[in-house]
Amino acid sequence: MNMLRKGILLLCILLLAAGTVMAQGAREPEREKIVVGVGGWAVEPTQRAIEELGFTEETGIEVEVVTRPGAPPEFISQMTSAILGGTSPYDVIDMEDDVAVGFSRSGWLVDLDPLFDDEFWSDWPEAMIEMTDTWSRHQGELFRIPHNYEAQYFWYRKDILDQHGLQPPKTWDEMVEVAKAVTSGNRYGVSDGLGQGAYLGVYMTYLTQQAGGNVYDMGPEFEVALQFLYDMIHKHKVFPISALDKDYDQVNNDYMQDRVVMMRQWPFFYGVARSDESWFEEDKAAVALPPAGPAGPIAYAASWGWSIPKTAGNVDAAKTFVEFMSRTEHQGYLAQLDTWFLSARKSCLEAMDGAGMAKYLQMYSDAQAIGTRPFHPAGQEAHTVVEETSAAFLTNQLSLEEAVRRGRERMAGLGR
Amino acid sequence: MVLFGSGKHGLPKRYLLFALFVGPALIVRIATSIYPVIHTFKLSLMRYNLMQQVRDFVGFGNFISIMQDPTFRSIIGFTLVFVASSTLFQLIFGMGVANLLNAKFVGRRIVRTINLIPWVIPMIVSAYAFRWLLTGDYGLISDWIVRITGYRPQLLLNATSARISLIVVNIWRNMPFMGLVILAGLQSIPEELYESAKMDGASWFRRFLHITMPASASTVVTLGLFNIIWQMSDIDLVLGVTQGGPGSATTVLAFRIYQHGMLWFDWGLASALSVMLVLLVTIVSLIGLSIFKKYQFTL
Amino acid sequence: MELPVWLKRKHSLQILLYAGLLIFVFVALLPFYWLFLASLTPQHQLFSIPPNYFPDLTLANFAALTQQIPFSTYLMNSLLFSGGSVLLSVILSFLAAYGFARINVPGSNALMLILVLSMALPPIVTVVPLFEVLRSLRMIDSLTGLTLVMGSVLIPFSVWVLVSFVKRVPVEMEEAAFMDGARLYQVLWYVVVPAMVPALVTIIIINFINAWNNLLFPLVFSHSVSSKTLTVSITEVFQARTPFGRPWGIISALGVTMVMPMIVLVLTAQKWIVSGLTRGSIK
Repeated sequence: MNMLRKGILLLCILLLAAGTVMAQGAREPEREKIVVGVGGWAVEPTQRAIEELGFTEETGIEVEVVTRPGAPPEFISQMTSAILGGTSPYDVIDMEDDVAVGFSRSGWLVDLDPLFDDEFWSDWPEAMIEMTDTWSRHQGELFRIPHNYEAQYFWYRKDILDQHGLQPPKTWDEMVEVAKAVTSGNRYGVSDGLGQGAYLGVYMTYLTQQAGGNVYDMGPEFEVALQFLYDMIHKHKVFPISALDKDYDQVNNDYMQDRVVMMRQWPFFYGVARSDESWFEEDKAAVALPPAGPAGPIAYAASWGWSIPKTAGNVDAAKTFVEFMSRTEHQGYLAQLDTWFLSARKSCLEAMDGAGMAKYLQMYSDAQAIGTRPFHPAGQEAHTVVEETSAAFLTNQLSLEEAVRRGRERMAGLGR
Repeated sequence: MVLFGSGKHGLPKRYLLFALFVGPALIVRIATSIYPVIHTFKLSLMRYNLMQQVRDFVGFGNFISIMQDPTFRSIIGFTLVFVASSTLFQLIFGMGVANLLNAKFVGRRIVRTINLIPWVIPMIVSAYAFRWLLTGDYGLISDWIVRITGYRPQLLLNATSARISLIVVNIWRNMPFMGLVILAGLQSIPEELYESAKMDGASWFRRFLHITMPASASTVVTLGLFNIIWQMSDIDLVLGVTQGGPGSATTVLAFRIYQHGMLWFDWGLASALSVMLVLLVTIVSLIGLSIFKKYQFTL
Repeated sequence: MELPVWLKRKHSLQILLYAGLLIFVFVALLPFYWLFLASLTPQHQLFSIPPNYFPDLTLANFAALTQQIPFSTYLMNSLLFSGGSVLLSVILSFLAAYGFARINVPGSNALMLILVLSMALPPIVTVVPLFEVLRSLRMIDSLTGLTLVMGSVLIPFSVWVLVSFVKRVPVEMEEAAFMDGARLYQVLWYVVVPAMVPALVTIIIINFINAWNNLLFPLVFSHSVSSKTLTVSITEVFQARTPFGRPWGIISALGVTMVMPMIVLVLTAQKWIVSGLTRGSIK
């Protein structure tokens, strides 16, 4: 009994002590230092870039690169809490399209326009400027400056297609035919990572665009796209239903364990495929133009870019960092360092000279196969409506008409 | 049992003492729970969306939007089914577990410890573990079903089986706690009572009905009720196992609140849904209390 | 004539009992076993069809874990957060329970009903307004704020259990102590607390487990390394360049490290938890 009382006392003392120590720690003098939050996969390349480009020597600003939560839900929760609390855990954040749009509509991000002049923008191709206007500007202000430009690529197993004497498909119909020829046992012709709360919405956006429509309109093109995916899964059985439960890591793994012959994937797969040396051969991860839907071969591009929250501790130093990383003279080096920094900026493509993913970016660009990502002001919520609508039909809960009818109703309600 | 009764101490002095003892806990509760809920009621009448940067009074506008949402009815429906079936089976299995743990056997201590494990694993961790067990291609459970039937199930990709899976995981998680509470009831019964009932020739079932049940009922009802309420407001499970899918088949009300409030910045709507959750909790509590009136609610 | 039948019946009951036990243990431990196995499986073997029952064992997932997140800081935060919440809730609840049980004032029962029923208010409902409360206290992203909120959530249940315990401490002991001239705080510390050790230990353990496992509050109210806990770190681990990837191997490693302390706790304190709940909830 005495032990318990002593224990409680001891615990009190320990907690007080710990609290004091932590309070002391917080009172350390401020140095010129910024915290840059990037997805876990980008920590290492970002650190290297800062080191090798000599950022700290040039500016005297120290940079700490930290991991931000990878998935939007958790990331949004934490940033909301921070910004409402008047602080921010990061001075600079690497952000994806939809999340950045959400924050910009809340008026939480610093205007970056003053950092860049006309000469800077002359390095940017038309398509990237157009995308930046849609996805990184709000009420004329530039709230994010993209550091990459990622199209969705059509990856396929050239080795397997060769065995069957087949060419990569040029249209949706051809894709189904090719897929039928190569599907057997555990191996599927086409697959994707379509887990809910993730990328089913992305894939539907992609297919709807190929059908000639905007996914958020939920028009006839959306129905065509949804029916096409449904048929691949349930009628032709060339697309595994389990894809609806998978993330990109898993579908990549399936591809690399020879269970998938063709898939849509972002450029990061270039590095993933090459990381397994015992498996990789050039023919195992070839890239073709996307199979054309009714509206032609098209794949929209997305981007990640730097943003500065207004509540950041050191906005000026953060601006210096963003300007430094976006400088035209650095783009070539950055793209060579990691695909994460590959964009279609002129300086970038020139320096890459067709190496690595730049070859495919050029190929897509030349074929005018890169589309603009459809936009909806209610971002994440609209995306969820698309996913819930599509999944309800794909898992046979509702008929196409009923699912789409409800989807439209919900979309209409978003403008409240 | 009262130490500071009406005799020695005057009422004012007793109130002062009472305030000293109870005040701190009450203040903390009011500040962090009761006030926020009242505030939520106020927010539910406002259009308050961080993304559109609006904050104005709309009366019942949010509630009208909710009623117009075609998924709302099924969300409420599943929430109720989820809670009702979870509770029912937790009670049934909880009784089984309690009787099992009350029996005499070698290694009882270890089994009682194992019983606690589902309850002490962080919900989000066990939710991920179950997702991993149930997933169609890589899951252990799917593999067993394939081996037995030759057919590969996609348990999480069919509305019905996904719902059942979620309920089963919930039962798995909360059964130990129920079992423990019922066990507590069993152990509080004097051995002699059983013996004499046995002598009188009462069957196992009759003994259970007339001795065990009444002894443990009030605790079971009280804890069971709170358990139901906690399950209604829990989001970890849905977040980890199904993300509300396929479609919105396994979306429960609390998870929708999380989506509206924490992901889509629509705090007005989230608050209106919260009000509905509070109402639902109240209704369920009242029903629970009236059904089990005769076993009395223990405070 | 009677004996063999009786024997038979006893045997079949025994068999039934052990069969039930076997099933029960299997079901209770299955997810944990799978978690444990996944944490030791190399990444590329995790996604095999059919699943790999005997993978090559590796500690790579644990290594990745410590590389990806500041593990020791999060561990410390989790301990401080849980310990602080326990301390706050147990002290306040003990005082409140004593007040409810021993002081007779009109309205006491109603107040207790309100306090206990406030347990029913769903935490998710309070999150939005709590932003404002915590902001005005400058306690967003601080362990103090988290502890306050979590401690508060734990109070109603603790009061509910402790009241019944206080009521069963013979009031004569306290009266005698007062007769001998003891002050109120002395009576509490030297008479009531020792008599309630089992109840306090139970509540401490149960509250600790609840706080340790809490995801919601740290998820919404912390955003820097200084206040994030282990539960939140699940959202930060990653595998490849895919924000939505759920790296099972690393999550499992994290899960195992989070579960281990709980299992040790249950192993050592199983008696307290069971006996505490047994006596605490039955009058």
